[in-house]
Amino acid sequence: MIKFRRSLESFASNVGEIIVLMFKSIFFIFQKPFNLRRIVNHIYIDGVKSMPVVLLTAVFTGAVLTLQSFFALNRLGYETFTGSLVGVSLTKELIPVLTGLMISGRVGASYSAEIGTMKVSEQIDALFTFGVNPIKYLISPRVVALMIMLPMLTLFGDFVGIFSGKIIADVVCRQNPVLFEHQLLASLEFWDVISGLIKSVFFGLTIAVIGSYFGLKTEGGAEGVGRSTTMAVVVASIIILVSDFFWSKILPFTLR
Amino acid sequence: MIELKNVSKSFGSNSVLKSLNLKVCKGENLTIIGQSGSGKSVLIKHIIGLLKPDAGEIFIDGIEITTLKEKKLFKFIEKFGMVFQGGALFDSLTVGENIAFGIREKKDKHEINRIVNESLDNVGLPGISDLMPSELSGGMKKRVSIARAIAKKPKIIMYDEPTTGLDPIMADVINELVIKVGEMPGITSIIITHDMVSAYKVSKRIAVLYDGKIIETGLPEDIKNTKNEIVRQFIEGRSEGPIKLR
Repeated sequence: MIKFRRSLESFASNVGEIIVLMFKSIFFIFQKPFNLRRIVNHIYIDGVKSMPVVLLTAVFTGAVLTLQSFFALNRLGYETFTGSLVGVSLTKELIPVLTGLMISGRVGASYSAEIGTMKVSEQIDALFTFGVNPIKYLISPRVVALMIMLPMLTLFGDFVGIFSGKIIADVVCRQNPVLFEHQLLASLEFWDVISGLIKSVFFGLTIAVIGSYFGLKTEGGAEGVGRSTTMAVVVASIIILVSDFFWSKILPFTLR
Repeated sequence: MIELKNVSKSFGSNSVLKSLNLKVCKGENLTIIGQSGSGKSVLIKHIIGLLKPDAGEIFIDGIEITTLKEKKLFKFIEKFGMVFQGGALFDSLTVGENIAFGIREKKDKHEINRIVNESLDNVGLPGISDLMPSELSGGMKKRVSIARAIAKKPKIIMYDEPTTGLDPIMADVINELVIKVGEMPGITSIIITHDMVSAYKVSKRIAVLYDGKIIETGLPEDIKNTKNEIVRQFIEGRSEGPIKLR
């Protein structure tokens, strides 16, 4: 019972710390000096360089979704609606969530490992001795970069996924590509895409803050860095998956 | 002047500092010696503001730093230089960029380059500003760390185990550097170490930390000739004696 109480207290304290870190990292974005160079650097390293991973994810997600949707709808005689199903599913749910999970694995893990290594080698303390706030210097630029780049990557994934689906519908399912395109455009609304992008802004914030938080909490050398990295990916992925449901409920356009 | 009054700090059930008192005068070279795990690093992290005490007060030049707001504290600690045990050089920056980090607010690039080169000359490592920290040996990292600390012309410089992990010759090079920096006008140096060779060589005064308190302070000669059994056991490096081993 005591153990359970302690775990609960520790969980509540971690949640509180994460929320404080999130607000501080957002607050420091608007404080001078603006660290533009570091933001651009993270946009390139964490965003632009993640494009191959997102490309691969989107290509195969679009392909397999098209394939399975076509077979399932074909049994009911509704295979002409494959384009509609693929377009809405990809843009509203699959691409934002899968991009978030992939970036959590690639970028969130690297944030945690890098900041964790800096912590155990006293580089974070060294920043402090130069009068530099580690949250402003290390975390705020990462938060900005991912909040900008995750929607960009999601949009890129949307296009790639739909294009991949269209090719599979044409080549494998032998469906007229014009029909696929027509059905997709007829059912896909502007807000479907936007709701996916809004979610991905939040996922970007989540990945950056969670990765940085576990990095800052790292203790105990290489083993501690490994533990923090694992925790960062697991926690960010869980938040992405759970919050996706609530976003889908909350965002008003999803109810239309 | 630095003054710690009744400073206490615990981590969980482990009391590291127990109502500790210490005064360090301006321009002094003070070495704090003590066993590994006795709380020496914790002590200097309190002085620099990295840790806050559970109880007690810390005055730097008459200002109580434990009550300073975050923004003021960040401004205040710019007067400190710190040489960390492993160097704590920023991995992603070159040696030159590491040294320039503390003077990044200066606008003139030539002035920054001049200070970087001068600092590297001072530690006997000219021409390495383009190297990355991963390309340096342990001794070079420590010297670059000292160069980085002195580049911003601090009023107080602190060394965390500056000779640990170095061969005796490199340790002596570092000792000479610590003395040289200590002779710069207006600089107060605080060195923490368990290396007695280093402590006798670089210190004007030695303080002994044991069981969370400063149990003795004095000139190096006084410490060498102390009657305190705990201090004697430590400076003679004996495993038998009154010191409780953990």
